[in-house]
Parts: sequence; C-alpha cells; structure tokens
Amino acid sequence: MKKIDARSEVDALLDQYQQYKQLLADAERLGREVAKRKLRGQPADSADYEASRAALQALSDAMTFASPTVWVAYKYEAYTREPQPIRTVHAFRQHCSKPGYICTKRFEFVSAELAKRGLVPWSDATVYPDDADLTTLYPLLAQLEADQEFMQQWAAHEYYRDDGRVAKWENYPAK
Amino acid sequence: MRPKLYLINGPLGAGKTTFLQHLLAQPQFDSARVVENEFASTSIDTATLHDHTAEVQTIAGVCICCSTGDELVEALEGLAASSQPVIIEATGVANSLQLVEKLVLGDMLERYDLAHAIFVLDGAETSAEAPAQYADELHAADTVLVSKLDLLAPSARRALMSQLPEGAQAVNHGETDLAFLARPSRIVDYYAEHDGELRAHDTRANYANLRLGYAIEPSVLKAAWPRLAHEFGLHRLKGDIVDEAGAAWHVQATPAQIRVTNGDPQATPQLVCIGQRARDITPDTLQELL
Repeated sequence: MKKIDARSEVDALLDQYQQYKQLLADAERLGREVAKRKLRGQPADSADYEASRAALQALSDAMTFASPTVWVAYKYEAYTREPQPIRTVHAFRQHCSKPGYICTKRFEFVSAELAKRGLVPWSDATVYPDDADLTTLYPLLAQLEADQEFMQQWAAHEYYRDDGRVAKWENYPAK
Repeated sequence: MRPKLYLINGPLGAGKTTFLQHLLAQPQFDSARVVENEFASTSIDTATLHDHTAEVQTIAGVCICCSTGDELVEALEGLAASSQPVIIEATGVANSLQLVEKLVLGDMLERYDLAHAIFVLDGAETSAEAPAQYADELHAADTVLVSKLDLLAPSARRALMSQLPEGAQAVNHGETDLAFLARPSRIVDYYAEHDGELRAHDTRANYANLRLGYAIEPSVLKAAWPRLAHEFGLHRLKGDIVDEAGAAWHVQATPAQIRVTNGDPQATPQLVCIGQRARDITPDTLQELL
C-alpha cells in the first residue's frame, strides 16, 4: 500500500473544512432568499440553492480519512476554534458516541481491531484518561496502522461505494 | 386535514422537556408525535417522553461527516400522513427562525399547519438584562414561557417579566394555562419580515455529556449533588444511571432539588451536566467526586 503522508492529508482536509464552511454560508444565504420569496408568493428559482447544496454534499463525500491517525488529527485540529473543540480523549469519545453515525462506526471498528490484536483499548480510561490530550493516541494508532491488513479493511469501509454512490461505512454494521 | 405542528425551543436546561411532558398529558395531545432535535450526542429525554407518547423521533447533533442537514424535514415527511399533532422540541441551541426556514424550504408548511411556537426561558438563570441575548427568539415566539420564577425574589421576578414580550407567562414545573395555544401562530410572518442574521444561541453552551462506565448509587449522587452544583456552577443535571445491583434510575436535578426515579433499563447510562463549568467534568472526575 502507498505510504500515507498524514500531515499533508490533514492539511488538505483542513482546507476542505474551510471550503465547507464557506459553502455552507453560501447555501444558507441562498436558501434564505428562496424561503423568503416562497413566503412572499414570488417566483422562487431554487436552482442556485440546490446547486450549492449539491456542492456541499460533494465536498462532504470527498472528505475521506486515509487512516485513523488522519481522522483523529483532523478532528483535533479542525474544531480548535469551534464551539465544541475535540482536544481531549473524552471529547473525542463523546463525538464518536452517536448511535449509527459514521464517526461512531469508525470508533467501534478501531476498538474491535485493537482488541483483536491485543493492543490497548482506546476506550480504557485507566490508560487514556478523559482529560488526556487527544494526540496521546497517535502512537497506539501508528501501531495499528503498521498492519497492512487493518489498513486494507479501513480503506474498504472509508472508500466504500454502493453502485457508484459514495457510501462511507455503510458496509459496516451499526451497533 | 393537515396535522398541527408545534415548536418548543429555549436554552439548555430551561425546562422544555418538562413543559412538553405537561403538554403530552393533555387530551388534545394524546396521540401527538414528538421530534426531538438534540444538541447533546444522544437524547436523554427520549425514554422519559416515551412514558407519554408512543412516537418519539430523535435527530442527534450535527457533524459534517454524519449529517446531511435534512434530517428534520425527512422526519416530518414520515409523520405527515397522520392528522395527529407533531411537536418539535429543539436543541437548546437551535434558532427558531432557522427551524422555520427549514420548514419553508422543505415545503413542510404545505403538509403541516404551524400552530404555535413556544420559547421557554429559565427565569432563575436569566437576569432582567439578559433577555436581550434572546431578543430574536422572544419576539419571534408566539408565546414565551418563563420557568423557575419561584426561585426569584418578587422584585427580580417583576423586573424580568417587565422585559419580556406581552403575553409571557410563568410555567411551574412544566404546568401552565394552555389557553395561549388557541392563538394563531405568527412566527412565519415574523420570519418573512426578519432581515437580521439568524444565529444559534448558546453556541458556547457549557454542557457535558458523560457516558458512564460505572455504577452510581442514587443516594451517593443525591448527597453529592449540592457540592457538584456549587463547585461547577451547574444548574441542571439529567440522565440515567445504573446502581451496583443493576437497577436503572432516571435523574433530574436543579440547584434546588434532585429527583431520582425508576429508570428505563434500556437507557444508556449517561448524565448531561449543564452550567458554567460543566465542561470541566468528565466521567473520571465525576467518579472521583462521588
């Protein structure tokens, strides 16, 4: 498998995140215009709004994580100035706790793979206390990522497509 | 006949769910459906609400990689076939006008009769000057309900009520005179005329959602609550715990009291803390404090 340059992967994702925020602001502005025209009984051409929504979805689809380290590092860095930063192990576990959601699936997959290999479970608060900085997980993830079979499985879920449609982690069962 | 749609919004911990429970106990809401749009990772109130209504749908918080942003409209589409009322309980950070905008863009006003928008304000947490923080919400809402007024001195109560729009009324442990529901909603007109930015309030809301991997004895939590509330400036604690014997308990606390009642064995053990330094609390620190 191709060696992953985590730093450049994360930088590219951070750029995408900035683009996403800009696109989201545009979509909200266009949506507001459409909604107001509808309410005023004026013709409401929603083509630009729909296009902005499609662009948003395309960008979201394109945001993929080449490895668990890239995923965790992106979460750590992208939300630094957001209302809910993900800087600690606790914040990350919390982010990954919504049943059925993609980040929860990623978290559960990594947990299962760590257990399978006899590595330290990252959900173990005695090893990784809640207030530990999220970056303390990197060495553990590096151990896991050294296993090519694991990386192939990660990629099979992260880049999964269903009949051509981007369907990240839809092939991994939700608990 | 189109089903009636009700919006309930307000800051985290203001008492929206308590009021909703009161609403669901009324005959006209006997068969109402509820959509909970939760800010916290998972819904704490779903189990509680299931005691009152058969159908509760929960839309969890938004994450770019997990959410399309269309979940609310999708949930409402699924509920539109029946004529029974639907109540949306918003997150505690949602802007009511943004919700209205989603309804308009999703053509939901053609499927539903938007009957009333209610904003619940925490009287004990809102000084007479603070309502400005919620100015848009207070003016947009069809009715403002103020909870926990009994915790204020009469003069502070009068000062606060004088700052609120006409028709604002007290809600006492969820209970209030529901005659206001007969008034037609004007929130859509307000939205149509509104030119300002629509911002979520409480975006720096201090809350922590603690997933508990350990047992907690109700008596221990009850005894520790006053100290927890004081040390971390908490004004709300709610969620579910499991004791050493495996029994499930539901917890609801305000600074004045803590109630621990029989819980749902299926509920995930977790506690949501809301207040000034709630983010300083983790499952580990809680365990140590207990």
